[in-house]
Amino acid sequence: MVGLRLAFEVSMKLTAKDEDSARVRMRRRAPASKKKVERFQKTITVNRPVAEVYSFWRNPGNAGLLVKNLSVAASHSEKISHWSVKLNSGVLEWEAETVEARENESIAWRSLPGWDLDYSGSVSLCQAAGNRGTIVKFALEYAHLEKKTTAILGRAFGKDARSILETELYRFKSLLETGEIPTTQGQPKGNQG
Amino acid sequence: MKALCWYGKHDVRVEKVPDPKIRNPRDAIIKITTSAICGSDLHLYDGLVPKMEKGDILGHEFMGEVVETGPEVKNLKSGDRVVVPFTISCGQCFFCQRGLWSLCDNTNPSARESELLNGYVCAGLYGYSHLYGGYAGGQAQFARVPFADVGPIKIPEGVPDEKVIFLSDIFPTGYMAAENCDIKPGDTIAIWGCGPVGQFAIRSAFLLGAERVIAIDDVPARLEMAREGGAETIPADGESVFEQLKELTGGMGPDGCIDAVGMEAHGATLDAKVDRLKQALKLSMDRPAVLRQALHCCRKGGTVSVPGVYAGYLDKIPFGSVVAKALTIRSGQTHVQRYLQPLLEKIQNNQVDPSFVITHRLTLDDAPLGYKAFVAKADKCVKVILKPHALQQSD
Repeated sequence: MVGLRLAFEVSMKLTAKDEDSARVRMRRRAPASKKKVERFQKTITVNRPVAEVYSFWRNPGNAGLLVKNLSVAASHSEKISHWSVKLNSGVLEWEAETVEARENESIAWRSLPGWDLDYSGSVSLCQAAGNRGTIVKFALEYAHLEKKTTAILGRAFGKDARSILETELYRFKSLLETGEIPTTQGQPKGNQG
Repeated sequence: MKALCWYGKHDVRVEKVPDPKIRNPRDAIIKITTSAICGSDLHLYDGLVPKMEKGDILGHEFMGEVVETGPEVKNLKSGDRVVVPFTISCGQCFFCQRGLWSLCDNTNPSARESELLNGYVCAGLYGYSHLYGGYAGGQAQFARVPFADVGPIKIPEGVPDEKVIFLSDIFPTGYMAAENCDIKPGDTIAIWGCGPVGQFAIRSAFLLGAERVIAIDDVPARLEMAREGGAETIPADGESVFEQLKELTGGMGPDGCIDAVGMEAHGATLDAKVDRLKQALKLSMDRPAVLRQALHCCRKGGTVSVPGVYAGYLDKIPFGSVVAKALTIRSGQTHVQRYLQPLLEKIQNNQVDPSFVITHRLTLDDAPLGYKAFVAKADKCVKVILKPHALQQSD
């Protein structure tokens, strides 16, 4: 009973405060007492105007440009998006909600309860001094992933969560500044015999 | 196509591999007509650069004919003859816009690994380990060139490959090394290392107005080539280099010192021997004996310029001397794009003919032999160029 109660409390803390989102689905979630919260934060400067950077982040579908095999679609509400990652063994899915969006300033989001991923995050923007573009502060809190989910993500992307997040931030910067993401995929290599 | 692939220490092989393809809209494919082996390739050959993978294609000095372009490449077309700079640069980040091309933010797919080692992301380079992006190199018959609208320079008809191939790396590298010394009239510049970069640094120092250049090396053939470029020479393995330089400069020391040797310095001094022992025992990464000498020999208030490649951490650097003498240290991978046009003009105006440095011309199939000769400095080897589409005599 203690485990269930803690799972409920953590669920309430990590999900929305407003009533619409305060649904508790405990059947698919591991006991919260066993879950740690991990934090990731990184700041980068992108040599593009604030409005352009905000516009990119405002559309969750753009995440699909950064992460291979990820697709993001609008769901039943403007604030909710459906995320899916194609795997060899099937599809990993979850839903997320935009909690707040202040034009050209910040966007905050969180995953919806009842899925294997449990996170909340934000991006805040400000103009960099000296015409250097936009300072982007990205922050994500996520419940420590269960072994099963870590293994799934590892097989899909070959990396751990922090590596994935850092790499996607670099890819976002390159895409906005140059129109492309640098790659060496598919390039020739020796036979390695 | 055929390409030279790395398989470990002193193990490079020419193999048949797939042709490169266009991957991004700003790519181009080059049919390589001339390539070269660089002194910094020898650090890969000696197994000292981390993050190499078996099968990686080497080579970052190459030129040839454009055979295909991506849809966003508007300045090149098939048939154009180009030299490709070894630094891959986007032209649009903070660093590229300030002419710091080798510091580009956007051309290294291994950005995270680069940041973990150096604190910040460095540009991708051809054929120089996955720290620098893992791009397939140009000791091959064809190469994919990303950001082809920013890097390659078109070569006019009538200018042979051998005169311009070194615009890809060693001529701009030697030139930037000399430029970094901030040469003033009357200056004496000392240059350690009479390999290809050192040879171009000698000639560049004179182009930039140096009064005297003193070159230091332990290979007689290389010292002879340095003298042909106007340098006075000191043997590295003779009497104290410090004492000789001080005597030759009226007791003041050289105004600028260039370390064109880098991480695999030889030398007969005690510290050089200790460096080799530590590296053999894997207690240290690099051997900075030349850097120590340059810092020691430079006059008060002078500049030490370091084009020589270092990969990691250095032991026992006399930084007290740097502070006491108020030295300036300048370094970096070459911002090649900055120098392509001005140096091409110097070549076209016959102020310099870079082909002087070539001592060996080989087919791609013989490239492994070229590496062996280069690393041993055998047969008076200074610079090896490769002709990837030339046939072997047995073909």
